[in-house]
Amino acid sequence: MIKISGLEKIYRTEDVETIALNKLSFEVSDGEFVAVMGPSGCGKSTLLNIVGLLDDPDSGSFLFNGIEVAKFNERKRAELRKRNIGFVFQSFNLIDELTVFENVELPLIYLGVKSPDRKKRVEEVLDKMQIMHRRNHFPQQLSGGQQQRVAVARAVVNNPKLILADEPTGNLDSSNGNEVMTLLTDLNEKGTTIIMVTHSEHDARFSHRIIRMLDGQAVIENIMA
Amino acid sequence: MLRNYLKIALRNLRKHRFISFINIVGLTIGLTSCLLILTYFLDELQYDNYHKNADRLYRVALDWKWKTGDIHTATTSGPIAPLLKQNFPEIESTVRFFTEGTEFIKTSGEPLKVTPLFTESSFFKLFSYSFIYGDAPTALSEPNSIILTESIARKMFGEASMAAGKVVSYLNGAPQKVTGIIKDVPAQSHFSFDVIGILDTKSDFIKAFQNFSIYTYVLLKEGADPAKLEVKMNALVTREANDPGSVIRLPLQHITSIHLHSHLANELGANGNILYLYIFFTVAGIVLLLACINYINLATAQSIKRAKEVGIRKVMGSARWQLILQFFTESLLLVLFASLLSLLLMELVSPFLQDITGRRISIWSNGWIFVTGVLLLVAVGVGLLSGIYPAIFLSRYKPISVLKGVFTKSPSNTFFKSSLVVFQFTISTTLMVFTWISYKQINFAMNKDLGFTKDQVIGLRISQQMRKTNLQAFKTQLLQNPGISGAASTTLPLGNDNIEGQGFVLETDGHKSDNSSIGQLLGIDADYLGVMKIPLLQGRNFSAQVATDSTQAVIVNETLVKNAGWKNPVGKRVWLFTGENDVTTEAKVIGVVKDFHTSSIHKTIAPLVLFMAPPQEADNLYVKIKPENATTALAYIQTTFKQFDRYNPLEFYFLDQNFARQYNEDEKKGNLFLLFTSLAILIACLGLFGLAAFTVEQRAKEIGIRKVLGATVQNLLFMLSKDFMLLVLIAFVISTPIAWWVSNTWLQDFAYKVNVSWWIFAVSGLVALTIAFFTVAVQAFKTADANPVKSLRTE
Repeated sequence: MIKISGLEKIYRTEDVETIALNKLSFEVSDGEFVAVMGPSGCGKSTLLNIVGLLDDPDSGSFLFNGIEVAKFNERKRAELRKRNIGFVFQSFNLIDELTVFENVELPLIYLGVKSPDRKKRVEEVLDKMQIMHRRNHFPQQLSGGQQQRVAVARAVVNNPKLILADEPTGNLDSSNGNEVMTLLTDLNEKGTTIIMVTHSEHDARFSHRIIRMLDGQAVIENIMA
Repeated sequence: MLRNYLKIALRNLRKHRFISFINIVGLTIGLTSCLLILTYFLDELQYDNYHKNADRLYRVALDWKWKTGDIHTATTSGPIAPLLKQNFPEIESTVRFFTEGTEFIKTSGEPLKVTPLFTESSFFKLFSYSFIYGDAPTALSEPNSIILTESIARKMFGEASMAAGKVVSYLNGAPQKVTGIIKDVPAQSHFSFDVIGILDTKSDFIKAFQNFSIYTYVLLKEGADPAKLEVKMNALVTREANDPGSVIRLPLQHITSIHLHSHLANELGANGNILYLYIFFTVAGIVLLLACINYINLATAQSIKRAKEVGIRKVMGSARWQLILQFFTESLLLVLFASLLSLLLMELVSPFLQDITGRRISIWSNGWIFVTGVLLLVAVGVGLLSGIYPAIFLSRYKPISVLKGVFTKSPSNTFFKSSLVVFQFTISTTLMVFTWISYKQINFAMNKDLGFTKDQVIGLRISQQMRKTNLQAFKTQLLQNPGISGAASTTLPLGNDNIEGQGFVLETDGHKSDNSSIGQLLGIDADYLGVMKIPLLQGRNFSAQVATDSTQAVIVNETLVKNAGWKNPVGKRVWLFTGENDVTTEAKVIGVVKDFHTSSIHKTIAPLVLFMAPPQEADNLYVKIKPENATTALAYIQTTFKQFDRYNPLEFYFLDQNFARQYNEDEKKGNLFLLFTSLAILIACLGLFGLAAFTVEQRAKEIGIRKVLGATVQNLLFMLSKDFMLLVLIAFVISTPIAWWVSNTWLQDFAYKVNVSWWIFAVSGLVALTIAFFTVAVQAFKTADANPVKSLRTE
């Protein structure tokens, strides 16, 4: 599904040049669950942003389902992103002014799905995530675990082929964290490819493969049993 | 999608109540100001449109320039209309009319005060009025006919139709038969009247070329070119006048342009002024602009709060244009809400507008389709104006940065926000200075030494009957009251702006000049100068004992002496037109008075010739009363008047009030400016208040740290307010030359004006700074005074 080769990303300010990705190469196949680990500043999040088509690399190749997307413009990236990729963030990133239902509905609105279909789809996902009873609540009225479940529901509502999770349990206690990891594992078992950035060895064990990064490069790969 | 936008817009309005309040209040005030002025503007444009032939209807005005002066008047002389009709085939019809002051008419009941207009039978060929009784071709065909307006007919006869064919009469005048009843003159008319009588075209003043008291209108034939006709008219009248030293023009004024564009002597009513409409429209627009700036500034200041949402939406697949559309929806919703509130507010403030304009004006008179259309147009326009910058600014956030909470403070955005605050305060300070100067000028005008004493002087209207028989006896009897110190009669009252446009010939180098001069001619009696306390500089006053004073003597003012170039004015000769076929009579200057104002100080003092009016021409009596006996003196005047005039009710006024009326319009404009200034300052301060709140909120952590490290509340107040104070100071520097220019331009309209003092600018700047300081300080103090642990913990 994903083939990255020689990917480079450099951040420049007036005085400082930071190499975030240094000729990084790796592949992720369909249906895989990959964890990306490494110390802060090693380039994990930059990698996730580029894979998530939120940012573009300075050089190198990025094939998404066999299509070269490294040079896509913002409009094309947005189009590809909204149809294929779901995001789960550490800080949930729900819109405070929208209810649970409306937050989950948002990706479908941007996909142009008709209202009755949206309703049906959102209710299905909320039901699956067991937060249907909270559908009319606002994010501030929910616990952290519930908020992350809403965020996962939002990430999967349009049946993306790929879910990118950026430290999904980072703001949760262990019990809520485990719940979220179980949800992600279930999704993966049903065929969704998952790439997860994490600091947690515990969470990483849920994946099939761990890529360990250092200074913008993949240094070790652990295949999980 | 749109539903989603609306939903989030409404929730945001509710969530950020304080900001929504500032924006809605500002926009409602701005929109109400603009809509009110627009309504007034549209109303003013309707003037005289009701005449069927309005497109071909013109008034003939008169410009006559001599070496020693000039005259620009809405009136012409009687012979002009027939002269034009005879010579120019492109003129379909002409009409002349005369109207001056009020008269009483009566039937069996109490006499009724009316404004009569005396005209010819062609009147209805030019002007369109609806007849309730009678018809246009015949209503003025018989001598002693009178046409009543509906409301006068109703007042006199109970029901308008009852007046048909009845006989009414002017007091001491011949009976007049009611041959027509017409609907009342529409309010949007540059002249008005209550009754129409027949103009005596054989009277002397109509036949005299040098008597400019007749209003002349022409109806052009279809397709006639008024510009070309005017050129020919000027040539003809120059030839006919045969006055080689002068330049005469007869400007054609299109009837629908008179109300807003004509400001001549002897206008038929208080005309509007297109310039002031533009000015007020601009000022109202500026008030609205200030409110839009608040929206822009507060929306961009809020951007950090909205950034996360922008980031999430972008991640979820929103395109930039969709975000721009979303933010537009928010501004549009807010403006629409403010528009609806402004409709409500307009209704609430319309009595105030009525007080200023003198008539009730409602936006609904233009129809609901118009109102809806204008409102939508304005809402979309203002929504776009306020929403475009925030929409573009907010939608450009990069999702990754904002979701990670990484912000870079854009210097260009800070500069933009600061510029807008500077702009708001530049406008507010300019308006403050201008309003102050205009009030100072009005105050100066009201209290300026006019060259005579106007206080404690009562003006009375004297009927023709009393003038003929016993004016002197009336005066003598009045003087017997200890509360009355003097009484003097005159042909025209002071302060009414209608002593204008009389021609006379002056002695030049010992001979009668070939050219006539123009100036004011005022008939007085021997007591006038004493009662009015007008100083005599040379020669002597009129005397009832000198027989020739009433026919062969004049007193002139300093301006006339200066214009004529006379070194020894006493004994010089002046030739006055008698009114018939331009015959003149000779009179000698017996005295020179110090210059005094006969009307408002908008006008310079004109050359003035005072003559001793025969009692039958002096229809105004000035009675000087002693302030301590004012009430008893007034009662005495009333009873004495009744003894001498059984028919007419006593009409009187205080001369100082008569003069004050000249500044009513200026005062109203001043009040309107004061209102707009207050609104502008209020809106600017609301915006500053909101911005300060954001700044303080953003710097809460910094304030906490500084407090922990030992900063006092005063230190923090200074730190937080100094940036805003600097902006207001910059605004003050920019506004100074602008306000100076605006004020001086406005003062050009006055012949006598106040100085634009530097301290007005200084104090205005200080006021702006103080208001701004307190606005910011309220917010700053709240945070500076708070427990620092709280802000540090929330960080």
